[in-house]
Amino acid sequence: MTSSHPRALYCSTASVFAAFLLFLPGTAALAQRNAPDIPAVSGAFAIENARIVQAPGRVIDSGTVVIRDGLIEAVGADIAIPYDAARIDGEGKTVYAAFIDGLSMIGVPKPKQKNDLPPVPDRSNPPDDRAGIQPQRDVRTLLASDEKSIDEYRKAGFGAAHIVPHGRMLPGSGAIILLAGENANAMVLSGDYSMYAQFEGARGMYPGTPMGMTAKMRQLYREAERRKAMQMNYDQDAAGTTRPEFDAVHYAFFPVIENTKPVFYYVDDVLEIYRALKLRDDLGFELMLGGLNESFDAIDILKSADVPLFVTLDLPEKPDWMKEFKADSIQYVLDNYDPEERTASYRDLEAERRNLEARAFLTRSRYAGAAADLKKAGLRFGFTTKGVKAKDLRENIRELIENGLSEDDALAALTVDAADLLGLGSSLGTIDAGKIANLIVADGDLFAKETQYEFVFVDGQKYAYPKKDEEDESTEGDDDKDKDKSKKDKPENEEMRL
Amino acid sequence: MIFKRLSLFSGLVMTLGLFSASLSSAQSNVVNDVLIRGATVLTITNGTLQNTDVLVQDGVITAIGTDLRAPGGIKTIDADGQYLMPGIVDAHSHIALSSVNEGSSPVTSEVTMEDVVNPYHIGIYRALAGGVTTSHLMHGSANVIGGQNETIKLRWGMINPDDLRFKGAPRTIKFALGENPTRNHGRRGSSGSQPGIRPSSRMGVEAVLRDAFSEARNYMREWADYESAKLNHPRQTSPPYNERLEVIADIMRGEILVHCHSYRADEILMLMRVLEDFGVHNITFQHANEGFKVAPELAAFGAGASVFADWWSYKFEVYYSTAYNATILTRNGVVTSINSDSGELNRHLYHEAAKTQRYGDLSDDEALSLITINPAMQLGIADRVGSIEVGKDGDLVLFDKHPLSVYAIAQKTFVDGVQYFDRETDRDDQRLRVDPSAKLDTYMEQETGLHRFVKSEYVTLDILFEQN
Repeated sequence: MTSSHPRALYCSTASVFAAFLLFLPGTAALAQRNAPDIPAVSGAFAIENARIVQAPGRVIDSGTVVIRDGLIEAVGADIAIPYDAARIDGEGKTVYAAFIDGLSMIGVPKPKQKNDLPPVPDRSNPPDDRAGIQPQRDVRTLLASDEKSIDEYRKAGFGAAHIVPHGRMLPGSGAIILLAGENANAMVLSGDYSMYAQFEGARGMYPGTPMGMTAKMRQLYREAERRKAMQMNYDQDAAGTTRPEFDAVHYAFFPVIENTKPVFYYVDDVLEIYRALKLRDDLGFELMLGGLNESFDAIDILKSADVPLFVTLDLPEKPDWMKEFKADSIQYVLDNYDPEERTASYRDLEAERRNLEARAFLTRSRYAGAAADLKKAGLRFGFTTKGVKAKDLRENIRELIENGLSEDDALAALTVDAADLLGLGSSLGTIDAGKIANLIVADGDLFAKETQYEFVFVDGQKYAYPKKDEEDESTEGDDDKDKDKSKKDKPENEEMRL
Repeated sequence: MIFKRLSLFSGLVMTLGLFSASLSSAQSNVVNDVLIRGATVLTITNGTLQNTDVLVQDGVITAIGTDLRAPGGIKTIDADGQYLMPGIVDAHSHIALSSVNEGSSPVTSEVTMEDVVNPYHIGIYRALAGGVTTSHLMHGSANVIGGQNETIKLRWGMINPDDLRFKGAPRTIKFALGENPTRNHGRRGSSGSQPGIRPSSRMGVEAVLRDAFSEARNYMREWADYESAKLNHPRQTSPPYNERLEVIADIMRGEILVHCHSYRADEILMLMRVLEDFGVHNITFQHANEGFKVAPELAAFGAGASVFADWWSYKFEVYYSTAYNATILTRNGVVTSINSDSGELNRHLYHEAAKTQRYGDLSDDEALSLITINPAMQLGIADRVGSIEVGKDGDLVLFDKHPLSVYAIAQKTFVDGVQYFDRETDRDDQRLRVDPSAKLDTYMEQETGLHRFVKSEYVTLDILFEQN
């Protein structure tokens, strides 16, 4: 495990000069643009007079959070504010721990579709990279700090994520990142975290089907076990032993075989849940599951599986006819639903159609109620945003809540439970002194539609997302206008405004 | 309805609860005891018994006779005037699968349909409605050596794929000869635009088979050598592990039954020669439209044949065919079955069996054996299913008429004594799940492609159906 926390706390002549420049109106943005590495005068912030939800059910009605150098220095109702902290008035605002994404590709540029690749000479035995078998890749080498998805998800409240490479069956190893940092290295909290796997077959070559992929996984794993035994043999005493041949794909399985690295399987439907669990049982690796669409049909097996779960925040797309439905019409359809209907289809088409409508609505609510069902079954889980646009996240979470998940449970899944399940409980997930300062400052209830996350702190760095109307007002001042433009991908440097 | 007073979302949750409870009742509270009274019992292996009771307890047939005494409270069905036969065994099916062909390689013995059983597929229920209780889910015919197949029981409503498996059924594997593998691998693209690989001819098919068996034989020897060398030299390097060859080795060890897609007599003889050379004797030829030409050779080899009653001419290699195929094979002592290979044909396999009486004069028992005990023998499960005998599984289907009559309609179907189909009480929409993102198509719209019927249109259709 590697850990990297470069903190911006210097007081060089350059910064003093920069601070001096700030007194000249209209030059702040210029200075920031021309010298992007100008550090902050102090890495300390204090959010005062705010309601603080330290963890679900653990609330301070009015208190202060002090942040310094990337960490939460203090939190409580009665905290002295350090002289060097930039103050943020939290009156009327609530501070929450920032969200943690159990699985995503945030910050990982999507590779361009290459349509001009030559056909493989033998599609029954394609090169590993063409078949999507690339477990030796490391997402840290693919991460780009200027990827726009980082700001999009941060704006939606996410401070940390388990990210994985794009790809097919075995895209590479995942890492835990913080959604802030001047460069990719600075974002990485923990690398080589997981071996990411999914049921995405190779296109037009082996393995292309779910059964091909499960078979290939067994082949790779068992051959890797053999190679590992040979390598250990050789490492103990090389003399007189044939030298084992290195190959990156099989060697990438060694930590998985040692159970020091889990396989993180993305499972898109209930049958994939069964497939991943069966592979785990057959091969014996540590398993984590993400996605879990249709988990409502696998509750019992998930209960006995004892696997960390990261439930999708995606919901089935609404067909056009469903979008047109009004709420009171839905109630009418449900009221008239008759599952025992026995009328020949051609005799009463409208009765059949009403039943189909009702079943579709009921089915959708099963998907939206899946998280609540897991909770009811006593299972802990986090969430994954894979496949969900950042702007749709909150609405989807609200639909999960409308379908039985409590707001506290939703918050837990986004924060403390995700942190624990990812093994990050000591550094993330709650607002407690000593943890990494990943925070949301919201102007209302966390999941309410109109609520704005005015500030999101990641790794102790402040990102401001002012409400639209405020933004409009502020554009009247020249330097503010420029500042709004430039802050998009950069932590706002509070001292610059002094 | 009771939801009227509830708000929208509690209404949803409540309805949902009731709905899933009714669907899962078969699983959580399984009734697998049943007494069927007074039916004409077509035992298959022991003739036809008039006015006979069959008792199933704990999923197994425990008594066959008249005026059977059964424990109190047992579910009893009055089948007076009806016909009870063993559940139909379909030796060739592709229902209930998430994927069928790993068509990317000429040899894919390492893949298994066990990994892709889909318990939600409506084809299971439709097969039950045709009296089928066991289906042999096969890999497709794209590859010379395809994947391992899976024998399932049609336990509709079970959602764990494992719960559908026919526990204890032997492993089987799909082979394929002729046009499908040569077309799929040998000639890619419309004008050979993509590189083709072997096989591109029938000779190539044989070569792929011989190479695969030879490789597997070498593989077995390498590992055997390694295991014995390890006794003296514990630091010996092991040969590479190969899942694909492990499975072919298991075929040679006699642990896996071969089911081979085939049509022509020459290729059937070819495969028997290849198998003879590698010591493999468990083989059933699927389709085998020219099986009648080599029936004595098949019988001498001990091979089975699983054929269509009268389906052919859908590609060049399937022109030379006859509806007498099943009869000729049977008369020559070949264990013969009639299969569906289709989610439609499997709903009337009893009609397919009846065709052998029109073309070949098979007896009732011989005709029904083609869809019961014979396919059970070909799948290695004849000790469990395929006939009505004490000690066998309670897989039964009740018909209103003799199942070899064109007027027969399946009424009730039981698997392990559990009733999974009831023509009288099953509801319209028996699907286990629906796609919440799907278009809102009624069954008629799906079938006809016509949308938004106006009244006059379905009146017309009404008349159409009434004439049946």
